[in-house]
Amino acid sequence: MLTTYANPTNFLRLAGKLLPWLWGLSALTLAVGLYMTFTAPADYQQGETVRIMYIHVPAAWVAMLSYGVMTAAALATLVWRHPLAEAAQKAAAPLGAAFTFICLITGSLWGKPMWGTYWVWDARLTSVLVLFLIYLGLIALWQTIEEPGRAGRAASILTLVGFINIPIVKFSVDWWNTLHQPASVFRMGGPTIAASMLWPLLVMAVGYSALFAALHVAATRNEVLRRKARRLGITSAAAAEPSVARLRPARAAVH
Amino acid sequence: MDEHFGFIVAAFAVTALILAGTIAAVLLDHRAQKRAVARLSGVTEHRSIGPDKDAIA
Repeated sequence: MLTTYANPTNFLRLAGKLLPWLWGLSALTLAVGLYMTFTAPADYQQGETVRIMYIHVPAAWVAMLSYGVMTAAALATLVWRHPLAEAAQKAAAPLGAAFTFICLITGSLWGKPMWGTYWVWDARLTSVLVLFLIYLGLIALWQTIEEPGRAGRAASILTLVGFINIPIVKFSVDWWNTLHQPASVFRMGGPTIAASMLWPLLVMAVGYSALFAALHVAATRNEVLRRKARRLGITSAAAAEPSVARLRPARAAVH
Repeated sequence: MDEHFGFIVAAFAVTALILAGTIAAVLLDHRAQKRAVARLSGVTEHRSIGPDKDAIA
């Protein structure tokens, strides 16, 4: 079944059917999540400022989820050399960068009133900044190499190397003394956060994840179309000028 | 009003802006790629059918 939908033509058909549902699901869950965010109780120490948590924490989770998706696609690119895996990998990088940027900015705006500073070079904050820089590096790499197959293989290697940062982001608060608080949801022994705050956080996390899924399917579809346009452009140029066909070997048509 | 109201509003505004920008970028890119494919499909089809040179001659 996976190989059936991995066919770009089938993927385009499936994406067309799936996207309205994913957009709808993300709009609905984000609307409910935002309602719950503003009706949840204020924190006894942080007051109303705790509401930033409902947009900051899911952004951090999705930033890592996006890297996980990219890593799986990178493996598929290197093992099967599948164009759709390359497209999925390329599409995830700007989305991951956007969610990481949200995480950094909202964290900074939460840190100033709570810690007295916008930024501190502690392990959690620094590792998330490194994650953001890895995303930017990957985007730059995709832009630098014109031939999608070569770009895909180079980006896959960088993605796999960069994956080492993901456990560092997750466990940095346990491994080092950080100003950032330790995990309070995904931890051994269960969540330490009150249910009245946990539920809005989880609903917002579902909303962010659904939005990421919608954006990722849409961006992968764009990438498939971009490759189709590139292929048509080469075919068209070759038809107009036969020497182009000699310069561009048949592999261009594969991608 | 909470003394940190400005930070809360700024955090939500920045998040909304980035998400809206990302959604807009993806949708606009879709439109551009669809147009490019349609235009190039037309060009390729036209060239593959092509004007009949013998007929012109």
